[in-house]
Amino acid sequence: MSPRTRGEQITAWQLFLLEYGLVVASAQLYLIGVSARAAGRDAWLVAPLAALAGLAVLLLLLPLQRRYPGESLVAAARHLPPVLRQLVPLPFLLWLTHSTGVLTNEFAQFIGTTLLPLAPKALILLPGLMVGAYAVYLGVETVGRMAELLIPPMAVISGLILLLTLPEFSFRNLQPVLLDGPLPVVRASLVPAAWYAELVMLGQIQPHLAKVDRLARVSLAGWLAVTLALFLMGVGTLGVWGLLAGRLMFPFYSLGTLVELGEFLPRFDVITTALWTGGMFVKFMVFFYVTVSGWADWLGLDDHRPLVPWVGAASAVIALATLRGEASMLAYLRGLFPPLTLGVALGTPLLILLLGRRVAAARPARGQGPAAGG
Amino acid sequence: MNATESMRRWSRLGDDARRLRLQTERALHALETLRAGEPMDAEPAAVEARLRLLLAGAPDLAARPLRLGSRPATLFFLEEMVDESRMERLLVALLEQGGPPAAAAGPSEVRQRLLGGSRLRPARTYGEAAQALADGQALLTAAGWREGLLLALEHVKRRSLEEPKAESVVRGPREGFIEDLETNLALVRARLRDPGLRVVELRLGRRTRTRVAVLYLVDLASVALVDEVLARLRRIDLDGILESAYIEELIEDDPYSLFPQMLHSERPDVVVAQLLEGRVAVLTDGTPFALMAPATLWSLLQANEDYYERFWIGVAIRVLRLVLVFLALVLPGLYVAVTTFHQEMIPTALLLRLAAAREGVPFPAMVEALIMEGTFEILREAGVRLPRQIGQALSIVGALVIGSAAVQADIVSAPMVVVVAMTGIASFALPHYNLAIALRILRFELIILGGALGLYGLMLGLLATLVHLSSLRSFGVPYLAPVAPLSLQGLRDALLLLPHWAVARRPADVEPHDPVRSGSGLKPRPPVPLAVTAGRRHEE
Repeated sequence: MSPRTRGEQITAWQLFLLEYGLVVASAQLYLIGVSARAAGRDAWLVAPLAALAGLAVLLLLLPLQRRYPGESLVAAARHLPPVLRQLVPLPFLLWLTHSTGVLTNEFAQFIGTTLLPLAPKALILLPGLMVGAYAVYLGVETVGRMAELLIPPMAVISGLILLLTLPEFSFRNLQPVLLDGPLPVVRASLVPAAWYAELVMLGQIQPHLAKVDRLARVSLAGWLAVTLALFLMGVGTLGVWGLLAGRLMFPFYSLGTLVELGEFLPRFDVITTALWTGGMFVKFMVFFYVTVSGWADWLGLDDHRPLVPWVGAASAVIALATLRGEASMLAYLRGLFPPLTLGVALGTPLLILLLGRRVAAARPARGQGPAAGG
Repeated sequence: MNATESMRRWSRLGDDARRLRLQTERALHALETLRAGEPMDAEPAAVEARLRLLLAGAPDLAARPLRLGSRPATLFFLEEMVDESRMERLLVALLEQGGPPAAAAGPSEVRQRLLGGSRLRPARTYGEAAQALADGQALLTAAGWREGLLLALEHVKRRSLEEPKAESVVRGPREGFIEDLETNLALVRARLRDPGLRVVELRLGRRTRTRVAVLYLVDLASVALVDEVLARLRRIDLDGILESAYIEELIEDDPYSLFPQMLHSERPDVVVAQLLEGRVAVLTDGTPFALMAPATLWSLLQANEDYYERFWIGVAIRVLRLVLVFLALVLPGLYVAVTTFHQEMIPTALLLRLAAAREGVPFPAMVEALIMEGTFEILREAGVRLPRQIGQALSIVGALVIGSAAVQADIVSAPMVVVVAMTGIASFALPHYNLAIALRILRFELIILGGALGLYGLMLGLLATLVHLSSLRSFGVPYLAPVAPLSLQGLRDALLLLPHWAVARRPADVEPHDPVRSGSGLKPRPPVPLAVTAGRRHEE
């Protein structure tokens, strides 16, 4: 266990919620729109298919955690030979930093679209980053507790949206199934699969779990919950919008605007926006924290806090300078994002695991070492 | 400073000033020897001279000559600090002893023979003696003794027990703590007759030497918590402790936080209730306010009376308080954000009213809100310290002049006055004043954020507050427990309030040793009808 990870602990319920928020918070915004554009009315099949990537990542993280108990993904790389121990996690860290910037951008875009259409992006982004930095500075316990406060309301309101739009739902919008064959669905699931693969970030958080024996159960339960939620959202949204879903920026969010709870509350979607912002914020805190703690582990620091302002500044620069507007963002999402994310998310734990096993095999004399558990 | 120089400076001073200066210097010198632990003289006259010097010529230092048998003796005490009647009795007892055997007696023999000898302590150094005199004890010295005898005769005038003004109840005990530690301890013990009640006494404050008692139930409170409280208290090194707030400030977890991290109360029943949940209480001499730790946000939203009324009303009031917190914190900020940025969110009929009311107002909503909230704070602050008669005039000025005249003059809009009034009432309705203070300060930040960034600003402000609250701990217990970290069992008492028969366990966030609070099957049931029992008896 690296010295920094020793003190802070999170509960199984917190890990479950972090996992749920990590995928669902942004997927409920983008997933259905993106997949409906590619797969049409079969878009509801995308989530279960993409979920396999998440499962693969989780199944890679579990043996890693068994082999190097209490060590984060990047810290586990320290068991590799000298050059490799720096080289193997490096793409992961660069990808993390970039992803945090991308997410910052997505967050600002969501707020800009729903709440502040006229405000410059920097004005939205920088205060948000500051609050996120404050949470990350305080550590993973705080992030876990924030998930406990913010994720359940977000899940409840999403469920409410689905329930309250049931009258508009029609199975006819989902039929015929697989009219163009399975290929469009597979192609469409590439981007969502990358979102699922972001679960690799849990590798930095899992070592903080207080009851380690629950790790496998919790992470698989979280994965199931995510998949079930996205599946239901997909079915619910497409059942109402049909092919229209592909033309909407945030189809599921727009579903919320259909809801009317009596005359006195004409804007149900305000509540949705408020609670989803909370969820997005949790996801953002996880990205931010994982990036900071990843770099800290890589540099061998005992304390992640000195890195918070640097990672925050990097995210701001990436969000403001490299992703100019919608077009470049979408181009990144459709182009580089899926292969990059899938490669890094699956490759990093796999490499550490395989190389680690070889190192252990080459040095059987140390016997009792980390290999004992693996 | 050499002698000639000091002489030159002294010659410039008048006679009185010179005398005072001399006296002070001597007393300072005496205090130094006192700290060095100088042993007592054997001669009462020498002792008197020394003590007068030490206490800087205190005019209320009485020295009463006696004879213990053939030995000349002196009783020293500070006049207004001792109990006259007890002193009389003691003197009689001392004089009755005056026979030949007592003539040879040392302090320990006197101590053994005297009634109530267990409350007598020897004083071997001048330091001990001077401290005891300052505490209000009396000092007995006799010729030939190498030590004095301290007699606990202290008596400080106290007020009688009253109902606490800030924590009055409709139903519930009416006794409150007073400024005397002994009385307060007795009030707690009278309600908690458990031999497991531990009282650890400390003296804090270099000069005030304030007595502080730490109370806990030894078989209930977690050892780590008690150790932590005691360790933090022992660390205190301040010249004076005048109120428990001094202690609170020095032992809380996050000194910069706006939020109170300890509970305080003037009511013995509240202290006992908290002790029974495994918390630690700190009583301070000289103040009726007891501190209790650890505190969570939810415990600050509870009032003792919640448990004295029917539990349904307790449940309803808990929910109401959450609404109050929301109103007190967010309402003005929300009003500013919505009217400035998101007018489309307001139902049309209401929007028209608001627009009509705001039509002539020259300020943006944020400035208007800040002005009104500021005015409200000024009125409140002015009202707190004024005598009641002037307070009435103040409320007339506040309500009429600032409220209605400002609206009529179109300086502020009427809805804003409504919003500010609701916010004010909501914050006064919270049971703990110190929590309301935190919300009041945060409210201003939220108004500014709401005025600058609309709902997003408001959300960021709330998120930042939540982040802070999530990281906060009170003596190791997370401030938001049992909601975050979640404990389903703890939720039953924190958010809801279930009747005593339904909550058999103590709140787990305090980590009590013995989690079970009551027997099982306490839920009252109607008796079996008489006819049935009669029939059953018949069958037997």
